Amino acid sequence: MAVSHDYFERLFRVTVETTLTGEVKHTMSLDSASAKAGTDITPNAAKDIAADRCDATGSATMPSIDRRSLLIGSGVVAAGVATATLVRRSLLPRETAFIARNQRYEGDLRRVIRDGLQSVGFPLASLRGKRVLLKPNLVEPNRESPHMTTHPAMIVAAAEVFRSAGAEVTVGEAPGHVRDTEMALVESGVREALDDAKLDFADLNYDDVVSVANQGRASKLKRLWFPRHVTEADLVVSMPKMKTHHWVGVTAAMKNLYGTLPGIKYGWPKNVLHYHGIPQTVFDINASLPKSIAIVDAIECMEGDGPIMGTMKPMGLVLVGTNLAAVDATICRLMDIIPERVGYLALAADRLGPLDESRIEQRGEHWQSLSQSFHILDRPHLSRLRENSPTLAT
Amino acid sequence: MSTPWLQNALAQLAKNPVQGYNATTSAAAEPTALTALALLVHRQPRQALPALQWLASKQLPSGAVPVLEEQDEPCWTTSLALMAWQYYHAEYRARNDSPTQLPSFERQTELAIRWSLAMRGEIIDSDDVGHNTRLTGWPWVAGTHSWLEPTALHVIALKAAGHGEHPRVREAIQLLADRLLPNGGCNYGNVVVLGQVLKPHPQPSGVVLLALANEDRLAPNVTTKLEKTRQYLVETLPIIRSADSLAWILLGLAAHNEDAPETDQQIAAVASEEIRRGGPLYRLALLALASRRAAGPLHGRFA
Repeated sequence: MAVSHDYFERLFRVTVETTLTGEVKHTMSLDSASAKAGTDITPNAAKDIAADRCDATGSATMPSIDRRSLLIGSGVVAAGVATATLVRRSLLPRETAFIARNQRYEGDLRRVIRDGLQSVGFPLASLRGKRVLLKPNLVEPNRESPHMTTHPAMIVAAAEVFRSAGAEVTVGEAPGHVRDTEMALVESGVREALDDAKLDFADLNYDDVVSVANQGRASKLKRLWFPRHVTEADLVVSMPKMKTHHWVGVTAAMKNLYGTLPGIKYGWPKNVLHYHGIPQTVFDINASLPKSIAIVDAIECMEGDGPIMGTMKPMGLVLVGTNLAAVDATICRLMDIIPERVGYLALAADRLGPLDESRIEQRGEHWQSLSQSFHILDRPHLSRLRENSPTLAT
Repeated sequence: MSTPWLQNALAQLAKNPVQGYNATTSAAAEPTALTALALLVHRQPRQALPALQWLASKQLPSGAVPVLEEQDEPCWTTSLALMAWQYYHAEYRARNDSPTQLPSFERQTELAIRWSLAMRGEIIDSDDVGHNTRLTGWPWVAGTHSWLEPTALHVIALKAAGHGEHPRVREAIQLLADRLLPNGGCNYGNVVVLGQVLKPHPQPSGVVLLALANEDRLAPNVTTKLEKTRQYLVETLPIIRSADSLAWILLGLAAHNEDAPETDQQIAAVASEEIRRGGPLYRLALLALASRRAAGPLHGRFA
């Protein structure tokens, strides 16, 4: 049985074969480790990344699999499936998620973001001369609800970090609910911040569009339209606000990339995506955009009826990670939500990244000491997101 | 009397009648149609002609005018092309004092009307939203639900083209009325989601107010919500600093005979900022349209 996986192939071009005898064969391409983070990295850094997963011969190290134990109590077929799952998980790279606590918008966010990127092994120096697109969440800005959108201080701090690394930085967003993007910028305070910092803004709702093959295919969409600024970026940085979401439970790094799709092709709201399933299209967008990392504004968050009408929940956190699924899984745990029960994360699990706690290395603070139960709406599709749900908002 | 910003804007629009959403993007139907309308409203039909002709050249055999050139969909911009052709026809071609030898876009207009009347949004069954999901208007993209702005734009265009009594338009007016928020205003097109009443947004509120102008058969509760919408926009207007929202608010209010002289200063300030910033030209077109709001360029007075 051959198990060939997009996630492996995209990151490491790993091919896994489980033979009829249960023997596992696999190969890993060392040079393709540079695909990590979607950017060119130095040969040494590539070796370092690959070395995390490889033995000295360049073959991936595998935990020994007790074939006989797999056969006990289940049939050969079931064992084959279980083997494949174990093999797949054991071959998945471990990911890291960085959390900083006690953060304020007035604080030194630039230092925190730089520390976070360094901590998760992101090769900042490799960005010299590269195009970096920062994608905040400005879905439907309103001066009365600043906790709905990514804070301007976070955007400017991240921009300065990437600019100081020699990157060409643009901030881009395709607000999902408002056609007047300029109003979204003004209402969110982002316009003034961008002007002060002399940062360019790309209105992704009205950019030229490029058709890209849908790499995820969880939905029936064969192709996705992305703005030119997105396809031409060497790195897309998802900069979400950490919020509950009344349809899918949680919106963070992965869901934020809905805002990379242009309104002129998908509408306001992006109803085409809704028709094809929100979890499925979140997965598809992320699968089709490999060059992304996450820097999360979790300082003032939103709980209850997010992503628009919820209430402010102060957390004082900043998260950084190079794998969006792993970052979002960590965010779920911070919100006391079971990541595997969030539709798009269930699709992403072991394909776009790990959700399993054992495969996400915590850097900075550990989520366990910071987790707070976010209010979620008293609806069946949301209350199933946690084991016992005593903190319901109605 | 033309103000400096307006002279500047009209000169730029006349020089670039076919344009994209910004200076670096490909030509697109919406900015080009708005440019045509602005030039027409300011009595520059010859300068508007390249824009009108470009729209005609991009019209598909079905009659639809797609958002972007070289792409077959989406086509909600057919409504804007229709407005531009119709305004041109009514104000110039059909008048005795019209300049001679102006081309006609009657065939294109006819096709656009036919396409518009055939296109409709999908109905859905849902208890989670607070509007009548079985009413149909126009979608952004074929095969999806009806939303407010494409519905309002098609209503404005079809009313201007003399189809205000068509059953599709009457149903769409019902839809617009149904999607007004209880306390006035509207957003992209949801009233209530999972029991929560949503917030209004200025631009769609202005567009819908414009579409519902001169409607004297609205139910009393709709008239009340419409009045609250007018109040919401009057109260919101002073803080608006973006061209799109400002223009649509003013056009919507003017269609309901609401105006204030100081708004000309507001338009001038926003326009000057756009010019200073080198913002998209279509925004100047919108502001130029709003500067002639009293003439009622978009609410059927020219039909």
